[in-house]
Amino acid sequence: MASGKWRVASENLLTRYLLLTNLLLAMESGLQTNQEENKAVPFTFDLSFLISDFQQEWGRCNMAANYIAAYAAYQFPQRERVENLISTIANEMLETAVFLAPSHSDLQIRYTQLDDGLHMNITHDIRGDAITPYFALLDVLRGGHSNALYLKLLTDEEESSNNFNQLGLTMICNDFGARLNVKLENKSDRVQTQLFIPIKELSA
Amino acid sequence: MNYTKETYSLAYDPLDQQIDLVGSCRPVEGDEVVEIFRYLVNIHNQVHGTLRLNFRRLRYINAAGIKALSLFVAYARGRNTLKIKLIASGILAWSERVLPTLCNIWDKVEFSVYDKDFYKSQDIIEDLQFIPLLRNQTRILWPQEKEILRRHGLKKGMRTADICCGCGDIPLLISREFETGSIVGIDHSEGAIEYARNSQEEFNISNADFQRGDATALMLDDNSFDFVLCRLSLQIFSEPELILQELIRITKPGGRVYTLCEDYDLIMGYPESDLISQTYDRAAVYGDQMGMDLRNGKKLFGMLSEARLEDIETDYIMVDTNSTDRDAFARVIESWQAFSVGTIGATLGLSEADQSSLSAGYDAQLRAIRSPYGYTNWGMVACSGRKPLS
Repeated sequence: MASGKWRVASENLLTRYLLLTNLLLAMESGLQTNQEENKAVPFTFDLSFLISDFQQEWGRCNMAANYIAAYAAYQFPQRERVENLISTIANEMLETAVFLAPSHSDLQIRYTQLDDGLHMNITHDIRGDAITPYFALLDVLRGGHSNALYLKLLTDEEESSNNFNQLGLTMICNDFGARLNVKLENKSDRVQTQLFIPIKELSA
Repeated sequence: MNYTKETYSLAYDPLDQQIDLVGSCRPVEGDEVVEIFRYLVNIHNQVHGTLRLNFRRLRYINAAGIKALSLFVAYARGRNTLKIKLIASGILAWSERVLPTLCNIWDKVEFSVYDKDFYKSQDIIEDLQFIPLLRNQTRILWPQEKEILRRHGLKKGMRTADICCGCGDIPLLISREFETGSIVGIDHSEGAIEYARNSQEEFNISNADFQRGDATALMLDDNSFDFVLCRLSLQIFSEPELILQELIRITKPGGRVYTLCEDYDLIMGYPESDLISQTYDRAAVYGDQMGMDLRNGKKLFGMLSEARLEDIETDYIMVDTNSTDRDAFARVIESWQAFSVGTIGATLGLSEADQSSLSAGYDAQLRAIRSPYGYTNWGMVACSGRKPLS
């Protein structure tokens, strides 16, 4: 019995030792993982707004764009330059969303900075009548034939019948090297516009 | 003839036939775009020759604002009676990216970036290699200048701006010495501003803010600072009055504008007086060829008076071998010698003989500093004035 008790006790001790060792190893490995994860974590933030706020007070597009830009620009040594570019681009994205979305919609923005450049995803509901012209515009911009369209939009005296910011998106593609992609979310009336700005466009 | 909205304005200056656009112009499409277009057309129909559109203080514009401009350019193309000059700023990235597109609408639209090569010595002054020279100068100037600043009215709690702040040493010293409410440092050199921000972080100074900016078109509000400095900078611009105008604009009524400038006529040394004087005479001439006025200390009083500042105070800052650590003073002269003979000499393509002759006076001055019986100095003029209350 004594040896049995001893065996049990020593097994318990061994178990505890192994548990403790494993725990320490796990903690160490966990710390390493966290440290590695921290290194790999990109600079990112999410913002959420109500479309109706922007529609009621247009100046909020300006405010939100400036906020995004000022916050993001601290990541760069050329702070003023980057802030100016990001604000201009973010403002056009926001203005477009405000034209496209019904007033009850929310507006989600995810901003991410990776080694290759800046990514900004903007998600919101979209008016049914705006889906086709919006996707058509993005097709043209993605096809790399936006220059002629840009000049036409600049000098067209008639207002756009589609009632959304075609010139703004065309401008950021032409003059700021922005690349745009768009997809419908699971709900057919919700759209996500993905913007990418190569890092060289910001530092040039 | 102005068009003013809450966040931006367009103001016509008939003297320069120029429309100054200021603020953040992000109108909603529709009526406001039409109003901007009509304003521009109205000015167009009153001028002859060239109409300038100055965007140097327009922080932002959106596509709707650009649409108003492009419609205007298309209108001008249709009339074909004017040339249009678009003046952008290297500080405002949007202006360099978007405005050239308007030239594609009509070939009589010219585009230029004002602060690209806007003073002759820009490349060398804004080079990071210039920073050690600035820091050496500050080391020997600050003990005297902080007292001068006190005498000229800089006090605890003041909202302060240092325009052309270089690598930021002076704003950081002011923040610590005077406990100013806040201090903004502006410089056109991206490298210098980055250096300043790093120093600020290292010294954990929270009430300073460094921004890249053009001293002739500051992105700072009118009447917003109690005390505005511009040190050792007016001399490098061919049109210092453009900077002075901006210094005064951002100063609150009753606040003070403080300037400090070199004057090579105040520099002397003994022994070898002639050699030292000849070198500074030559350096002033070479500086002139680089667009710098290294003898403008004596002109400050007149400049501030002409600008209608009141209660003008002047002071000398006289760094000399008697009042300054000789080794630190020698380091400044060595920096000047390298800058003047090496950098400026190379830029102007001076012959070896001219370089050697220029160098001789600096060597003589260094000998004066290192001799226990030698004397030499570096004289500057500090001048400040109060902005009238009305």
